[in-house]
Amino acid sequence: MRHSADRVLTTHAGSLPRSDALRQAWSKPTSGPRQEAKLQALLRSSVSAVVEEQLRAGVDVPNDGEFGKPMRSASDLAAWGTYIFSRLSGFGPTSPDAAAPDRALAGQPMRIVGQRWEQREFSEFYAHSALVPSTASRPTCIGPITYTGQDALSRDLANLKAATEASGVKEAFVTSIAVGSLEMFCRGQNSHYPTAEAFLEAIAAAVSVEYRAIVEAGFLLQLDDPGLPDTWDMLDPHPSLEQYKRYAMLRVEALNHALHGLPEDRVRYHICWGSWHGPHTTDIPLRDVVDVMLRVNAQAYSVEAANVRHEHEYKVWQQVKLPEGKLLIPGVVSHATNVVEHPELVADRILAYAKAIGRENVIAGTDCGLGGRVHSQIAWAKLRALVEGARIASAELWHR
Amino acid sequence: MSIQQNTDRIQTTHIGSLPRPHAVLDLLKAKLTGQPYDQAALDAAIAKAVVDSVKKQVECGIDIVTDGEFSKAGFFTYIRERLEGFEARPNEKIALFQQEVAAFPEYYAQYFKEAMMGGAIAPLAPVVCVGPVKYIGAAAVQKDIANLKAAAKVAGVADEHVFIPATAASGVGRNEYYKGEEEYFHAVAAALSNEYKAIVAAGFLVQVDDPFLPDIFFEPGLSDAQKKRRAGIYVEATNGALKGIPAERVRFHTCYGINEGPRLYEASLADIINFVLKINAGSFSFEAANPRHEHEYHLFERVKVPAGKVLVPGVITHASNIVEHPELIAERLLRFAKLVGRENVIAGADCGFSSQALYKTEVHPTVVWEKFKAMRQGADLATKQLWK
Repeated sequence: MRHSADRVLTTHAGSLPRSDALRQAWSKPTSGPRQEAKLQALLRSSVSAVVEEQLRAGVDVPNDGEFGKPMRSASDLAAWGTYIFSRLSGFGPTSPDAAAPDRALAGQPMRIVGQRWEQREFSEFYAHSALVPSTASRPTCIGPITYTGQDALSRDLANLKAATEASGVKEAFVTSIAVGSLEMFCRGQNSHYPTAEAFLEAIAAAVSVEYRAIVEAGFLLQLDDPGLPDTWDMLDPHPSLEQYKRYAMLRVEALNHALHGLPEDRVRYHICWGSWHGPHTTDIPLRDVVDVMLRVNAQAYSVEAANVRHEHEYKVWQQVKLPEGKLLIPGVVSHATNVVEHPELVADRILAYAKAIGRENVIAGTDCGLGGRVHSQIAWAKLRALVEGARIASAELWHR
Repeated sequence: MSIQQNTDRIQTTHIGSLPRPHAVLDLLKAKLTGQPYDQAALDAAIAKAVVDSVKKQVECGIDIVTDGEFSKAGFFTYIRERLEGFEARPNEKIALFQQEVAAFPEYYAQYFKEAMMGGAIAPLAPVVCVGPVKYIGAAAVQKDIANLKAAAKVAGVADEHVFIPATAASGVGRNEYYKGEEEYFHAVAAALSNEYKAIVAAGFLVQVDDPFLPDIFFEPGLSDAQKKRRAGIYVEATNGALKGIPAERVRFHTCYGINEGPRLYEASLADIINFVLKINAGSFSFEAANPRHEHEYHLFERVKVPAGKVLVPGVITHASNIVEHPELIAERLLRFAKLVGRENVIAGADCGFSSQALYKTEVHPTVVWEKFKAMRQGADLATKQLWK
């Protein structure tokens, strides 16, 4: 994995804005081979264009914008998760009796529920806001889980390969949902496997096919795991911190199982606290889960640090030692506001991390995906601000 | 010590507007759109809302409180009811953020439809000065003062911990009557001086709002010399209006007009600081809690703030629904305290939380209160480090 050897490298968390044409193509079910071929051609050219555009903006480690993960509306916060269910067997629509309840029933064990703790705390805000986390029904596991997404996956990898080879990109990444986040995404709805452990094990075995293929294709694998910090807000009855860390550790072990045999230096791991524009007062602090995060067998960790709830957490790294050889990808621009970060602020943020963990261990990133979360023009303005900020910080850090 | 300085802890305040209760908005809307309405009922609704709001501000840890601008249609548009000499031009557009809008047309087309004046309860036309400017707002400002006096008494807040925002001369409208800009702004300022003096005579602080000063620096078509000249006129006009008022009774607020957009094309604090610090005020409030301006505390590494003057940087913002973490707020305050001294930093907000009378405000009311509580916690954390 490239690191910041002589300047601060730049990357982002994955999702980039889709064109209207691509969103529309994804939202219509393809009715025949001609239409399908048209979608595939559009996807290919869009990936090529978005890689070019990232390079023009100055992003060092680009991706395919997650364009192969269907986003069907301009504001879609869930494409990072929904895509996997068309690539797995064993999941189906949720019947009303299998749906996660808003609250756990009295006397029932802790489970993921449909309504977040914060949604209860800010019920008026959430009743009035259009930007709430989706409460639409999520799929349920109803049979054995196997990976069936080879075609879609090979297509995505081939599209990115063609784009990166054409533009001479040294390193690119591909995102894939982490094991625990897949369980979180479907709200733990499982009527097939007897236990959570068995469910996680089956998820891990299936998604490891995707993980391996990404690494074998020569890309960095980025595991998207908002579930690590964010399930804290969704468990009912609410766990103690110790209980939660045990809960999270079980998911990390399942993830490491899925990563077995993959070289650590080909893997980066992304966490965030959910990308909707809410108050986020119930987010678990990084310091409470940082040791669990560091147990993931990845070389780099991508963490939100550019929004007002998590900006101060660079201080965590004044107390917690980043293990030798590991890298951090703090968010220095955010999906959480339309205001474009000033490059000098971006530089300040990078410098704070460089001071805490060493300049060679910082890669400048984004809090979360920008696609579907801010207007396309704003997303690109933010990436340019990120690059400019990294340039300012590099000049200071390498005394140029 | 001037009255605004901290003595034993970091004080907290905000900028003025807060989400108005729907009971007030319904009546205000009827009034502003020319529907029949009951003035006594509106007055009573506002008086009650101010009492409730001041109580809640205190409960959330705000030291220096205000009335939420509940009686006003908007933080600058309110003044047209209080001045003579202007006429509305419903066919003219208010041009806002021109370079921004040119750069991000789709974003702003959507934004203006839903937010700011687009969300206002009554259409707002620009006003133009067509005759001698005269202040006719004495009764209106006395009503605001009486409401706040009563509310502050209920909540146990001392008068010098109450402020009332009032617009600067730049916030009214365009001139077609006076010979030149200078004459026009001084005439408006002379009229506004009545309002400022009434507020201070009541024992309160007056906050002069001038979001239009930074605008000059991104107005298309102005040369550098013209920008400086215009800024100079604004400052002189405001100082003229403040003549006779002790500086320690005045807070000067500048910002960038609420805008929650990308904001690539707006002035930096460095562009305006020399003008801001010339205002005869005891404290200066500016944006510092959003990612476009957060880094600007560095400016005070080289700019010296005159003795006895207080900074009121924004440490919470209207530009995000996320509640600032108290530790981040503390950090922001500590940076300023380190540069200008612990007695000279008051925790504030970037801007108001309901710039206009809106049903859908920039930030939801429940989130505003939570931001205030976070600000109190952050100020306390900073206090603990600064007054060990």
